[in-house]
Amino acid sequence: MIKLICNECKRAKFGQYVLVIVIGNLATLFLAISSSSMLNHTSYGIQAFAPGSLKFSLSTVDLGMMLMRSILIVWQSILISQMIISEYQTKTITMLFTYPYSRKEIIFAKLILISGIMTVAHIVALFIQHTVIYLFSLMNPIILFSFQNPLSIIIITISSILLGFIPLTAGVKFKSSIATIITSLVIAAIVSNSQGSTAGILSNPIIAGVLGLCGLVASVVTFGKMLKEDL
Amino acid sequence: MNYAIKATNVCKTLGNKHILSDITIHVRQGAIYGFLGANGAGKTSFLKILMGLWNMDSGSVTLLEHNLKEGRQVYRYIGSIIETPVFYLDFSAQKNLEIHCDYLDINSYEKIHSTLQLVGLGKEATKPVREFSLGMKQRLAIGRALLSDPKLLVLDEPINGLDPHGIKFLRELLCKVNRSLGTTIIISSHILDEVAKVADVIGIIHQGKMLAEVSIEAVGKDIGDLEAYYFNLIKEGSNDQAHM
Repeated sequence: MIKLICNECKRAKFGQYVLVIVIGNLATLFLAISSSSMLNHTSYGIQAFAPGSLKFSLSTVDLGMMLMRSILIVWQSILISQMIISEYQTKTITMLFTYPYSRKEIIFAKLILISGIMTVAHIVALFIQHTVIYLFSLMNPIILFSFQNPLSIIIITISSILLGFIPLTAGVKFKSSIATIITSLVIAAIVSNSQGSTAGILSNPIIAGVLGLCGLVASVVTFGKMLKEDL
Repeated sequence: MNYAIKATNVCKTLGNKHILSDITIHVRQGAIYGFLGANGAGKTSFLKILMGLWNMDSGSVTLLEHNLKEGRQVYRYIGSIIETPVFYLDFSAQKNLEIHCDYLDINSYEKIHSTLQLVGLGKEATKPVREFSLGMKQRLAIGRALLSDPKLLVLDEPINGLDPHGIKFLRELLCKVNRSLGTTIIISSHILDEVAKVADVIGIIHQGKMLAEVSIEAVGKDIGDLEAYYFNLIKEGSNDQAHM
């Protein structure tokens, strides 16, 4: 299995992945900090224009992580598309399936690599968002920093990664990268629905757990289909 | 007698259509087996089952004396081209062959250069496969299939896309590999002429059924003999099915 993962790594574009993680985090930081600054500002924030209206209660770090999770769900679909769906589209998967490894091993190696990359991306995002926003919050009281329970963070991160595998189902069914990415956009839009008070439904560990379970079930069913499919 | 391929009563149905009905094939080790049939006769379907890309509904297949149900280790000794040659188009010819070596646990990439030279792509090693013509891709696919010195070569319509020079080159290469390494070759085609020039034994498939398995000597090396034999069989096969 390790050998197969190494083989997959040789085709992976790690430089591109690092760039995506860096740019995604910087863009998210900019959006989260600028939004918080504008919405909470005493002179030109919500309260200045509509005194007595509901206060924007989302902390900057929650806003940042909500945006980042959405970006990562979409990016995960791009990885799925590059590493799995495109292999079906170009038929290189038929070549891989003629090697002396079972389909289970070949597909599993791909899924493990994607999960590994996504885990690193989530950890890096958590670290960057929390560190930078904390430093900004020391300098500017409008930037709000709060730290979530570590167990909740772990549940939400795992669930987010599992949820990010749902586009695989659409991609394998239609053998289409576009279907994969559109599914991820729909999922990202649903889970980041904030209503100004929560950091999206994924911020609730119980809901996140249920959604993660849905992602796991969809992945297992799709995995089973990929093992039996005639190519 | 040792068989490189022994398939017994292989059946495959897609929806309501019988793609393969009780196909039985015996390819002895060291032979060049021409697998003949019209387009849609079931050649590629059968070869896909051999390579584990399709599941059969019933029957059994033994490759190099390993039952397919016992695992996939035997594929280490099999080179193949199924349907069109497929590659990672953004990668060079060299890189594509390196990937092949990685999956077959060939530790050294040393043989890649000589293989590319062998198939006439020595100067194109670093060029992305995206820029290759169909004929060049076919040559590269043949090189890839030969890279691991396989004991069995499964070639599905390998002359598609090759120009007359390429066809002659492939014919000579297959005969050379067969003679020097004892590699068993099964080559599917609908071009009778080409198969007649290289095959020791031919198998004829028509509408998913095997009509005959016969040595080329019994039919006659002359293309006219093979054509007459082939069309007679097809006619009889069609008549039999019409009476059923």
